[in-house]
Amino acid sequence: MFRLLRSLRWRLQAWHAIILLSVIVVFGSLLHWEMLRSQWDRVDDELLGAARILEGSMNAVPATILEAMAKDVTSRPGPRRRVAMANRPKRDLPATASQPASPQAGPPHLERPRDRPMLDWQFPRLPNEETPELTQEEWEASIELPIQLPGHLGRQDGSAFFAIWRADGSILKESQLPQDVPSPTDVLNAAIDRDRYARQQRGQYREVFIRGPYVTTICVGRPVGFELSNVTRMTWTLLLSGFSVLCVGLIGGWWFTKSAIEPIHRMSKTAQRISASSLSERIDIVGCDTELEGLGASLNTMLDRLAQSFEQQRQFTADASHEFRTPLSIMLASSELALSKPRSADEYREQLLKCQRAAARMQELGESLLVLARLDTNANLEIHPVDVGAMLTDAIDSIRMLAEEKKVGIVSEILTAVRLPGNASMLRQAIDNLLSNALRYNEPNGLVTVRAKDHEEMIEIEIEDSGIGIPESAIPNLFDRFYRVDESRSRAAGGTGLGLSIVQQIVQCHRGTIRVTSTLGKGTTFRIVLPKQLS
Amino acid sequence: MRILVVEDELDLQESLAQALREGGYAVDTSDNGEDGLYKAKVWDYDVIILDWMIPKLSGLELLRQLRKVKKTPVILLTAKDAVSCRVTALDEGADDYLVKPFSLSELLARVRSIIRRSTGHATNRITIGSLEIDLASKTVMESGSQIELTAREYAMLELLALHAGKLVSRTMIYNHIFDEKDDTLSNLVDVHISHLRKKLGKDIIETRRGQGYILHV
Repeated sequence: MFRLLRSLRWRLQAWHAIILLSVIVVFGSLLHWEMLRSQWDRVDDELLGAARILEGSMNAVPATILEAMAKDVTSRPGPRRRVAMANRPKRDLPATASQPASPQAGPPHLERPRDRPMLDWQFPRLPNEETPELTQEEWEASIELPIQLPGHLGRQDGSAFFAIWRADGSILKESQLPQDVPSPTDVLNAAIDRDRYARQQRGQYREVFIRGPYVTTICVGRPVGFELSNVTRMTWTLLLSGFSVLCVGLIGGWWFTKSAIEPIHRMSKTAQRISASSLSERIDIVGCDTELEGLGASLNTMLDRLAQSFEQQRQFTADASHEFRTPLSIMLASSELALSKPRSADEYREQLLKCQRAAARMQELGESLLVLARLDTNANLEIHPVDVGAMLTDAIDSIRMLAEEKKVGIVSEILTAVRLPGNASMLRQAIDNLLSNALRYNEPNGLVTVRAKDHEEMIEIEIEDSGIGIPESAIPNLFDRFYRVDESRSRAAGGTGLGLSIVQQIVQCHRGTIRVTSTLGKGTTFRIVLPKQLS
Repeated sequence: MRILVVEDELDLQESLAQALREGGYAVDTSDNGEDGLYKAKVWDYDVIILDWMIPKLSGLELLRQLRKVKKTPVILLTAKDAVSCRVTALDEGADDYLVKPFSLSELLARVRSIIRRSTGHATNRITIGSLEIDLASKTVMESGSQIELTAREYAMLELLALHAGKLVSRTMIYNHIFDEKDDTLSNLVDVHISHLRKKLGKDIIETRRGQGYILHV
């Protein structure tokens, strides 16, 4: 579980699911509520409309008749009348219904029953009240729900019903009832007084209550089984569609996160495959998203650099082992030869000398490699002020003998006495390497010139020989480790192939530069520039 | 048998040459590619031991040029131990490849093996009648008893035995038994042949006057 939480894909998916679910729930609930409200409002409006019509028709009934009717109803013994509305003869509501004898025919419509006396059927009569032409039955019949009005009421085979109560709760008139409608409760009464009408859902029935004239309460209701089943259907539809949207969203999200994370997976797989031995492989960034493309590209750049340095390292190791092989094979061959049979002292001596020379060569090689390794790691060189002029003079003195042997003259033009910060033994090694090269590749009766000049911020050291020179094609590789201008010439002449490489490293450690100019057959000049300040 | 050693490391070259001479071979040496190629073309060496990295002409280049005219067996010596290098060397016509540093005894064994194969023998033991020659220990047995021979005598017998039943000319003997430093007197071969006859029996080597010698099977 914890692992799943740590997975980017699962977290994305979980967030996606939570957000999607809440959106669906909120949206679905709002929709559901709004649909219910509008449906019940419509039903209530119908019922209210019908109730107002009833109210109107009651207003049209002369009080006397109402009074009689009320007495009649209350006095009527036995079960309540049940007359199917549909069976009733349809009656025009005559003009009289909507045209009461006079506007004052009814009592002033008081909003609050408590402001009025309890139902008092002794209504004041208008002075010129016309005797209604309608009989009581006809008036009574006029208080009826119109079958046609409003249209919806009749949808379920005319099952709308009404009931009119007097203030004392007794029934004034009622239609055929699906079941007894209880007289309004106190809560309902309060609601009617507050909102001018009240509504209630009673099982399968929806009912609207209003105050009628003469402190009556009118209730119009109808069964709403159809609407209720509508509501159920709507709820299920919403639930199902919400669920399917959720499913589609989750599947889509899963696919989406998968396709978003896929390149990462691919990268990590490639990265796993890439080890020190297979650095040639690269991460495929074709078709990746911009962000991942950037990541892949920088990883590839890193791999390029790694591969390059690995290759350099490998080449260096191969070269180093290669360089060790020749003296080693001399030692092996000589010792094996010497031991193959009893020999004279001179023969042993000869083989031992070969071994010694080979060992010396290996020692030189090993020391050079060590110096390079130390320079490579930039192990803190001890920096002290170094008198360059004195150092050059010392170096020249130490090779003078060798130069005389080789019949090479040395000229020194040292025009500086400045001390510059540096590591004396390293700098001396660099100068020694250059001087011994200058001697080694010089011609008999040649010349080596050493110059040192003082500039404002730097010292320039020049070592020039009149030797065989270096072909132009070799100059770019001259400072490479184990590089030799002629594969075997310098080996016969000695040297490890590391000398110039070491010189360059030393100069770089002193933040200086080294350059070489050479003319084949005329000589070579190495020019070192060292700063007087190590910043 | 005559061997050319082309090696620019003089200490190594000397040791190799000395070891081979002590092994009973005639040895010529060369310290650069051009000279080595010249010698390889002029003389019929039984084996050339060639260093890869030599001045003037690399060992590989020498091999390429030599292969255009001769199929002298070549053992390439080198410090390059990469598989690709060995493959290149063998594909360019080297018969064997030895990575430095190597053991002298291994080199000698490889030289023997190459000579043996180039003359069509499968083992180091050659039997001709009652005569038995061991190429590795360089000993000769006649009917079970060992016969003492000088290095030159042995070399000559080995040459005749490797080509047993075939005519071996005097030039061939000169070419394969003596190296460039030997003062090759014209009757030196005759002297060695007569010594061999004394030690092995008169009939074993037949002289074809003006042509050469045959060791009869």
